[in-house]
Amino acid sequence: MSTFFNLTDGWSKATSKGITEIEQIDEFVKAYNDEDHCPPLTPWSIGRDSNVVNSDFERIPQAILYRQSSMYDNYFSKTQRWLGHVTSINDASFSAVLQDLTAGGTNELAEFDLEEVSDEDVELLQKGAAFYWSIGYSHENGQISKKSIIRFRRIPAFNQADYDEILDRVSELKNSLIWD
Amino acid sequence: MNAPLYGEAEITLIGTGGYGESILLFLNNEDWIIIDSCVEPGNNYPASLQYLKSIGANLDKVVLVICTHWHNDHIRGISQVIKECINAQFCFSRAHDREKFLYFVSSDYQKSNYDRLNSSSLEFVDSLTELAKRSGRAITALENKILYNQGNCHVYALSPSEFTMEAFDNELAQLIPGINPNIKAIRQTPNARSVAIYVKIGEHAALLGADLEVSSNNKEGWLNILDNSLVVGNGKKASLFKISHHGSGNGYHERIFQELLHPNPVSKLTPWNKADGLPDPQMLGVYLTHTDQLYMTAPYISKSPKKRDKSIEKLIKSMNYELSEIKYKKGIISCRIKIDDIGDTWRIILRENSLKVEHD
Repeated sequence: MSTFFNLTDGWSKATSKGITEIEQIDEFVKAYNDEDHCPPLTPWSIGRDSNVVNSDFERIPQAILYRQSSMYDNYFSKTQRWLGHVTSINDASFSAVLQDLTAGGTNELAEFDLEEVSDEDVELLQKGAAFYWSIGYSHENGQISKKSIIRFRRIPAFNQADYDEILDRVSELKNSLIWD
Repeated sequence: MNAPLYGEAEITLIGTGGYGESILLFLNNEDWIIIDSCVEPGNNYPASLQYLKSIGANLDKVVLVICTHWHNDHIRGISQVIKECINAQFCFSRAHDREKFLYFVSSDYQKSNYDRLNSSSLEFVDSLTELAKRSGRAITALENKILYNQGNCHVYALSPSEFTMEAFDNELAQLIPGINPNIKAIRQTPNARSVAIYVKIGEHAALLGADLEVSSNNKEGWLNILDNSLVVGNGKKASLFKISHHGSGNGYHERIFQELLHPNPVSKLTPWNKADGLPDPQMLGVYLTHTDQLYMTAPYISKSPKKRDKSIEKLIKSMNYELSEIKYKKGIISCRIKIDDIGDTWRIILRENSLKVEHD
């Protein structure tokens, strides 16, 4: 819960200097979306990473909502987390192999209803796509409910440095190995 | 278990259930060849190296590492194998256009900067990088090619065919522009590119089927070997068979038994407990019509949820999710034979969960 208080402090500092201090809000929202600290509990943040939220105006409501909800002791308990990879997609469901991020060890197979994928993530649902799945008890605004959250991963497109690295690697492997 | 005796050859199959398989060959009294790699989940150390160390073998004597294809169950840990086996050459199937091939795997590998689990080529490029550090030899596997030739022991690639690799060239041309950092690259025909292997040991021979399947086109897969191979056929039959593709129906053709194998061959396979699971019990029945020497590295494993904290189990159940564990079940089947004794037969050593399959 220390993260929670730090976030609240961060909000206080941000508001005391005005919401034009977008960098603090960025940090605030980034921490809020951090898988390791606070799983997303709001429709706005499900399936969304801070680095793909393009508009500053889109970031603010998340922070405001968090500030409002932070009047209560909001947290997730008894959580279990997996990293999944989509193996097949059917009419109403998709199948995945799951890697246990909580306990490690062996992998699992599971099937999910397509309805569990948020609208924002539907375009990311493809064979081979990676996603996080978290389940647990959400303690939100004094209420306890069971939650299942699926968030598909977003990785930025390759930049120039990536392409440089790719070509350097090709050159290195081509020249250093003896090919027959 | 001890290392093979002088004059003996060995073919060992390691299976893990849903986490892959690996084969080790001991040939010409001194050389080891490792085909494919698998690891224990959570441990991540190659089972092949674990085995060699357990019998006191010298890793410097591993002369060749073969990657039959890039499926995770055949490649996990192979870069560690290349790293530790400092004298090993590395053999794999690749597109003819080397530069295009390297660009594809390098681009796929680049995704690991953002998400290691999204890169299908991680192990493969790590292997090439390890090999490059010592200016090692990268050998292309292709039908009819000899991969090892020492004394009276020879190892040949029976696949992939030229036709298959031309198709791979075309596939790469389509895959490269669409490389998407968010998803694993889905290659369409990896099993067709599997490297099936014929091992000649003195007067004995073995056929190792990798994950090769039967295609409707006799220019690729098993039909290509049966109809067009320059290595097998013409009475050159094997007495040991590593059944292809975990005993699946699409890896089977009765002509394999009729034309490439002696009657009642020692046959071994690794089960695959993902999805519907392999082999289908019906297929085991089919294999038992060809041999009464059928071995598996592990028994069938019924599907069940993973054991975890009771409160989490209860939560999963209450939310109506049905999860099934991909169980880790390791088994080792070692087969040894005297290289120069034409009358010798394979001695089978079963370890851990491996078993002989009997008629019901």
